[in-house]
Amino acid sequence: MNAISSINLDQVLRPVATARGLPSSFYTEAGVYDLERRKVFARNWACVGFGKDVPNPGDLRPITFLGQPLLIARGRDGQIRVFENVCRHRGAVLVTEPVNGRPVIRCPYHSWCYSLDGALVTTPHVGGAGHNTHPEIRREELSLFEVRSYVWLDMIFVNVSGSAPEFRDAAADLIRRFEEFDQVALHHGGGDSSFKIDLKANWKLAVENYAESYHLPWIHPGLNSYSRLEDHYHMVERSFCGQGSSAYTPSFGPNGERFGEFAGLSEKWRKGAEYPCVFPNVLVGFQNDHIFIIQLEPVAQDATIEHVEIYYADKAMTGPSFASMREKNANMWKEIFVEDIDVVERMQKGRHAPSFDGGKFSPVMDGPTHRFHEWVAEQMMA
Amino acid sequence: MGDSLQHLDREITHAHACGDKRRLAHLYAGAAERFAAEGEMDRAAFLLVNAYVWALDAGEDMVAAQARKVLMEMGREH
Repeated sequence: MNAISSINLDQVLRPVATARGLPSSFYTEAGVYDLERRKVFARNWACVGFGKDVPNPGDLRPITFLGQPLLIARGRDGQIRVFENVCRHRGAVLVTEPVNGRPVIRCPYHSWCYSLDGALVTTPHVGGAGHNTHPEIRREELSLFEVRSYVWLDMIFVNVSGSAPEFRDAAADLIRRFEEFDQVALHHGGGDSSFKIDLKANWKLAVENYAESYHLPWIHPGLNSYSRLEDHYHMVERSFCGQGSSAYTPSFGPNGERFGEFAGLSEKWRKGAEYPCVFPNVLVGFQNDHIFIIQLEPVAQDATIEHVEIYYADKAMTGPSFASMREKNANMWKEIFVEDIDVVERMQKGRHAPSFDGGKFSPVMDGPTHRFHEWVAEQMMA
Repeated sequence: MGDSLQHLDREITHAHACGDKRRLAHLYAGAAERFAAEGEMDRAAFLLVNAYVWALDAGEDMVAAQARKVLMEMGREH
């Protein structure tokens, strides 16, 4: 028996033409939100950060995910790992601020030290003053608890339940569709290519708004001149949904300069761009010259933080001589994302209307939104 | 020894206050050597454990390796 046992989700699972959206309680009730954290976020692969924030061996970044203290660590081997951020001795949180280039992870309480791959290295005075050993302290059994993680396109995904299929299986359709970008190096643009947006709305509304192009003419009129509604198409897949455009040709310099493009992309990407929502909490924009990634961090049933990061194809684009173009690009996207805030927050407020029944989808324009609702319903019913 | 121990305590306290882990590693290692030379092995081991920890935390690999080696020889570390 759980909080949604009395809610009928059958209407969500119908074909788009006859379906209704998720019930309002999925956006407004703390109990549903808590259940969602376990069933949607813990059981699947959720994005919790970016590799660019731990660029070098020994870089450590503490985060809180689903209320759990986690630690993202870049090992001496260059590999990113995610651990529960607690000492195996007394359970103290190990790292509270991002730090760089640490040789070990030392608990400040009793100085138990862990290597960057989580192994317990030493246990000072554990057998009495001056004795670092004790027969009952078997270090090989006391490594940090590692959380399943996978890095795809610099996004760090975790599956805290440990029960999801391998990331590459769970996201096979996504990886296949964007495999050309899997082969290229991404270069983060730096401080001017990183920003946050606070949203007074449930995280799902950010996904739903991003997934469809139906709203573009009304909310993003600036796009009409170069990326019109009729240039867009929708993607409805197993692990993602979203929209694409066949008319991506912006320039960012005063004389029509453009960013360097990813090498080896197929013809599709010459003017094409795609905007998938990766279930549950990532929104990506693939263009031939840069990608942006939005990690959605739910902080309450009616509050979300959007972490936006922009990566370029050509390392030269991250230098100071391209700063104004990068800034223009970041501002362009920020303007678009900010244009969405009002309608997304209106949808949040609208979920308090007692008669709202989840909403009626357009069979033509709301396919991606319906797919996302269907996916959430499937997770919650599992 | 008394005066020099007080001096050592002050230096260690200062290094702690500054968060100077490298300094702590060397101070504790030096102190451990002095007590070992006088045959006070328990005291030496205590100080060497501290030296080992701070050397690990400071990335002072040589000091850490030497401290661990001595502690292992004393049967106090794996």
